[in-house]
Amino acid sequence: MTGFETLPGDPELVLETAGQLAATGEQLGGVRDLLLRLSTAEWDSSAGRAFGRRLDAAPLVLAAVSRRYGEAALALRAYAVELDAAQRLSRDAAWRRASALDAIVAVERQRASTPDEVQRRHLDALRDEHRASMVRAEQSWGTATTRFMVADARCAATLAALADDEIEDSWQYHWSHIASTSLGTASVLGGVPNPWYGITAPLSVVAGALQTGVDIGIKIVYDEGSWKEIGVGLALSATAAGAGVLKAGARAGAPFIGPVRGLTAGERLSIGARERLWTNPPWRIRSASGQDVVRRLPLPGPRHAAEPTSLGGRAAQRARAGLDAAVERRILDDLRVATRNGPQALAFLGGSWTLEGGTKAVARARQVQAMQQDRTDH
Amino acid sequence: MTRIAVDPAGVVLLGKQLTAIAGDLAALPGQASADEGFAPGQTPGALDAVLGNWLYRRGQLAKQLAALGDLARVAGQAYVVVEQDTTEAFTRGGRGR
Repeated sequence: MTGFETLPGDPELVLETAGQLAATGEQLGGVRDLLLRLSTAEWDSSAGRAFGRRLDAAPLVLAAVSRRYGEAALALRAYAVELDAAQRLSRDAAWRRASALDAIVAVERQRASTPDEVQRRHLDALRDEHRASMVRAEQSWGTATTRFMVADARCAATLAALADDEIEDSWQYHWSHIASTSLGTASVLGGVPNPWYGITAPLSVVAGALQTGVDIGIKIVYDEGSWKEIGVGLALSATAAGAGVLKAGARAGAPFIGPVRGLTAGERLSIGARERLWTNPPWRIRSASGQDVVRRLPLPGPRHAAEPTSLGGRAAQRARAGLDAAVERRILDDLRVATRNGPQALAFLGGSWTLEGGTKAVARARQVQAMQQDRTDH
Repeated sequence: MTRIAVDPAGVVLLGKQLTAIAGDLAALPGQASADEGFAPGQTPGALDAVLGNWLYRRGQLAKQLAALGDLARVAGQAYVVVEQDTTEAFTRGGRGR
């Protein structure tokens, strides 16, 4: 490796990408036109007009995306041309430099074996010529790479300007999404603004806590993702009670007396996790080397109240009625507190019920929730 | 006066097209792939932003179009059913269903 080599990359592939972007941009522009035309052409009635109004925002977004992709394709085409030129120049310069270097080595070898002074002086002059050629080749290579770097910076600036438009996501969503889908490690996330950072501190002892925290944030704020997937994530399962963590989080911040304390999703998760860790501590084991090791514990199975089916007659009925009443009281109590705490706490409670899915308590909870909703609506 | 001019099959087709568009939107790549042929530099990252910094908007749009697609399909089919029922009522001498 000399460092003076052909610039890497494949302009043909870049052109192909540009072509795909342009085609997608055109397609989305076509879809926009289709929406504007179709929503009224086939459906001219008050319902059709109401439908058209619901579609109003879509053409605007599609127009923005179409413009974004189309102009990005143009920028990439210009980039590909510059990359191609820079590659040709750098390849030529690298070849000339390598040839000059070979010639210098050959001349020096010849000079070392020549006793004749005149001949040696001639060889010195020849070597200097080759050295000058090598320097010129290195300068050409430098010119080629500089030219490419300028083109690269110009293309990147154009693309960055295109990405900064009306359809850009908020930075909170952007970073949360990156954290959730691709990074997920504390070391990397330490350098980026993380809106869910409050989640991480108390749970940071548990591998995957950060990931879980970000996932929960996205689920609550943007309603993306699945409670079940979040619940089986390492952080919550390490506490051996994902549902319990969420439920405790839903309750957090509402004292028996006095005003409700406003908490962020992160603070709720932190409090929930602390409470579970306090009551269910042995999720940490010590290895032979004395180092703490995080062990993934299995999620507990659904916790049923003992089925009183083995009892007979009135005793069974009384037991069942008593248990149902207790379950309902607990559910109503959780729901009341979470309702007091606001939509975020309700999302936590809903998540805990989802994790407990299939249990009798959840079925009852859904009934109770539906009844409550019904009362609210009327 | 209420004016209604509807092509039910067209409305159903509109619904199907919206659903297809929603699917296409959801399938768009959110970042440049590793083998796009770029030389090391700033462009690949900037392209990632172009492709991926409207994920939320894209998801919302795809959901909205899919929901409207369902609505249009149901509405189109409903127009067909109403038309058939009304026609049937007339052909039976106005007795209705």
